[in-house]
Amino acid sequence: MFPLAFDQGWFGGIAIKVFRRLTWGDRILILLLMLISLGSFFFLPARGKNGRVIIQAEQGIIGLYSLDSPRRVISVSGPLGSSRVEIGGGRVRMLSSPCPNQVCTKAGWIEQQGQMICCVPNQVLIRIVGDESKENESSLHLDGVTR
Amino acid sequence: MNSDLEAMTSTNSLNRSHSLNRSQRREKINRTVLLSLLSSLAVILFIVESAIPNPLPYLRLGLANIVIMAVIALYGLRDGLWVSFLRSMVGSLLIGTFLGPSFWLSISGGLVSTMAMGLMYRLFSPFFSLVGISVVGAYVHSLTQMVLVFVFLIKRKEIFCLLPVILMSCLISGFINGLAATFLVEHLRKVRPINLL
Repeated sequence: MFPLAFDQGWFGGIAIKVFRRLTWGDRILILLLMLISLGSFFFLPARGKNGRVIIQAEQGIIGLYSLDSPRRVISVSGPLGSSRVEIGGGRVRMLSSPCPNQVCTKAGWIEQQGQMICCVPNQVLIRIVGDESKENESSLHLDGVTR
Repeated sequence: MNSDLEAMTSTNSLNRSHSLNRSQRREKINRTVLLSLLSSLAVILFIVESAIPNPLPYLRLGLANIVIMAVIALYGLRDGLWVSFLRSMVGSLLIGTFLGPSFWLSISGGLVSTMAMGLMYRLFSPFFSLVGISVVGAYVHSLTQMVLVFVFLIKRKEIFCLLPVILMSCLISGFINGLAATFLVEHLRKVRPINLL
């Protein structure tokens, strides 16, 4: 009944006792739910494409750009100087930045909803959001806080 | 007329409990005491569980569910709903999240999952043991909370990316809780812990 050595040792004793205690309904149900749970690992994280990019700087939102547009470079001015953001082909990156540590340029391309690049010294925030209309105001605030 | 008046005045609870015979009264008191003990046990488990540090704030063991399942198996759905309600109320009062968002999530998830488990126990009791019922309860609990969070708190589809992790952890914790509830119910049926009066 057990393919491996599940029937040996103290753990095997417990496993057999537990397995005998389950009814057939339980076994079928657990197997089914396990398949659903494992399957959801593969199916659900497929996030929606055609997202949009919000670029924020110290004075607020610079603009809302479509990710699918052909390649273009947008200059954003911050306290240290001008950052250049490259958008195109469904992804976005920080092309160059005047900040000292260059964390934002080293972040590379981002392409999925919810990802963001943040340049703290130059106060630039690049975020990819979905294409629903209500997300634009709600996602500018907190996601939600609970204890 | 006179006897009507007597009948009316004698319908308070004290006199009515006198109308039961001795063993019925004893059964009723045993049930009340055991239910209140189990409720306090559920509250204690709820508090202990909130003190355990989690890797993710969304995952809980659901230890209080063990007690609620035992109550459903021993006394039925109605008392299970009461214990679930009391667990959320008293537990959140003691933790300090009363009337906050996590209180509403806990009470709604608790009541809906208790309802699901009670109906399942009533309908398919010999076919599913408490383990299967517990797993279904865990799934219903977290799916209810997830839908509520989506509708009221975080109106973004990204939270459903957490779903695989939550479903998997539900399966594991529901299985373990179901085993614990099985042992608890067997023990309580065997030892008959309270013999007052």
